[in-house]
Amino acid sequence: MSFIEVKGLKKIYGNGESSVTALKDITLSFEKGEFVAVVGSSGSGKSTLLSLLGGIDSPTEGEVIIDGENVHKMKAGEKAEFRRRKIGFVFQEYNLIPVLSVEENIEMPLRLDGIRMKDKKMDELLDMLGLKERRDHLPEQLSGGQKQRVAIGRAYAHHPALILADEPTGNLDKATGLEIMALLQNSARKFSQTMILVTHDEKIAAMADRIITLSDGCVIGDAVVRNAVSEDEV
Amino acid sequence: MIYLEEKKYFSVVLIIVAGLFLATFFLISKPQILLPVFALGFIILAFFGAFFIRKVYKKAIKAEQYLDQVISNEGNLSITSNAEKDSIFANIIEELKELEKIRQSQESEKNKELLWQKNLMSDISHQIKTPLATLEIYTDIFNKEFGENEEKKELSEHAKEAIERIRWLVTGMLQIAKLESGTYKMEKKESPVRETIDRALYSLNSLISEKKINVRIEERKEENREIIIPQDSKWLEEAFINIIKNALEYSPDEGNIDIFITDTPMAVSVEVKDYGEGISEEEIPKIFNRFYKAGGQREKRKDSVGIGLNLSKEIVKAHNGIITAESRRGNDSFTSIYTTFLR
Repeated sequence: MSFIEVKGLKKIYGNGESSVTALKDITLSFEKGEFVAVVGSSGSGKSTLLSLLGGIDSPTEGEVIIDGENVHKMKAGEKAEFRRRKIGFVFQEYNLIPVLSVEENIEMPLRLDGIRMKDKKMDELLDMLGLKERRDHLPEQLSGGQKQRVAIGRAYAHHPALILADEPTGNLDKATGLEIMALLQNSARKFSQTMILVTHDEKIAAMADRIITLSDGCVIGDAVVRNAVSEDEV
Repeated sequence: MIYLEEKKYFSVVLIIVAGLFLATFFLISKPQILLPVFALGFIILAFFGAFFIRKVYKKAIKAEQYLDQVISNEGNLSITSNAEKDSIFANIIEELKELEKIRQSQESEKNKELLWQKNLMSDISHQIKTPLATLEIYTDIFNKEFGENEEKKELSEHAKEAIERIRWLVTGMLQIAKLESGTYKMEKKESPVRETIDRALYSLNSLISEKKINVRIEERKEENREIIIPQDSKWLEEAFINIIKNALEYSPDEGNIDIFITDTPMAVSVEVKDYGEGISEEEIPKIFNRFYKAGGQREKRKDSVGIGLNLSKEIVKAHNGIITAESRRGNDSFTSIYTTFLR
């Protein structure tokens, strides 16, 4: 069994005549440690897929099984806890809490579980993110790249097995975007985390081990970028 | 399973509780003594309980620290002392140790396989290099012998190019095998990225002047100091040679190549940009694959063996970096290869 199994996933927003089908019968599986890019034009359903994978939204039909657990069969409280412990989210909008400091934002998901991060660990993490001097700053005092680094810190604080990222470099300039990707990928490699990333940036997609293309709510391409090409391509 | 130590503590608690019951039984008629006895009993119980919880908690912390080490791969397995042998946490740690041993032995099996592969590659390439050198000498002799005969001379030139290609391929494969087997340890030192790129350009000098390419380098940095990254500069030079060589091969004669070195707070990004015909979007993720050559120019690029960018990718990965590409076709076509290294 794969680390993540997506079976017959379907999502319809609204009902009756005004309903919109965002996803039509998606079946996919993801392995541990895989770095997958999901690409497609806007409205192709890629962000919907990500929010269903992360249990943020509920599907109309179908199921998502992560590490043997059926995400959408859980009760609301269980689901929230599961999300907190297994999944790290990184969004285009950094979604930091404006009244909390850098350190407090990073510690947030752990605090919700009643855990305090050890000082040594926090120091290591802040060092890795280059935020040591900014630990007491508020989000509004930070640049875009710094905010995204805080968001990455928050996503990694509990070493989740799965990272879900939606256009993580969308609001950043080219060089800062690459910096953020280097940070994400470095940590994913180190802890063999699965990373599923929604993007329309070909540069970002080109880093992935596997590229899934969505169009109109359907998977129209699923290409594994192997290390060696097959004979017909040589 | 019986955990003696936990049992010991539990028995003491039981004795105290039993003692309190007995006291109640005997002292039921003397309420004025009963109260202080009870208070004393509870104080003892509370003290003992706190002591017990503290002890258990300390052990739990040790178990957690151990797990932490296993996860962050520090590999120090000696934590428990003999005194704690029968505690439940000691047992958990012992079992974790077993698990870690199993994992390590699996890993070393895998490493053995990779080492074997690397040795095989190394043997094969050394065996190929000797006859290759002989072939090269013979073609040189032929080339001189043919003198005036243009047709024969051209054929021997082709033979020489082919020999050079095989040499490049063999060397590249050997280096990739070294990197993948993990037998080569990167010796990283903080040094300027610009120097490494300059050295790479120097080795490509003949190709640059042959195609009359104009190479421009721009450093984008906030402060006026050198852009430094931790690098094994020999290997990284190799990576840049391959990336720039690729750009040179795609560039039209007398074209431009731009190299941008950008300094951001956490990382350093190097963009190598050529203004050739570009690569299609579907092909971009594949260009770092072994033996892949972009379709459009496959016929023209006879001298390429499709191993250079794959080797670059492996080297960049060994530097905890990422490599990616961007390209446009048609008007204003270009191809950029980006390498990004965390500081």
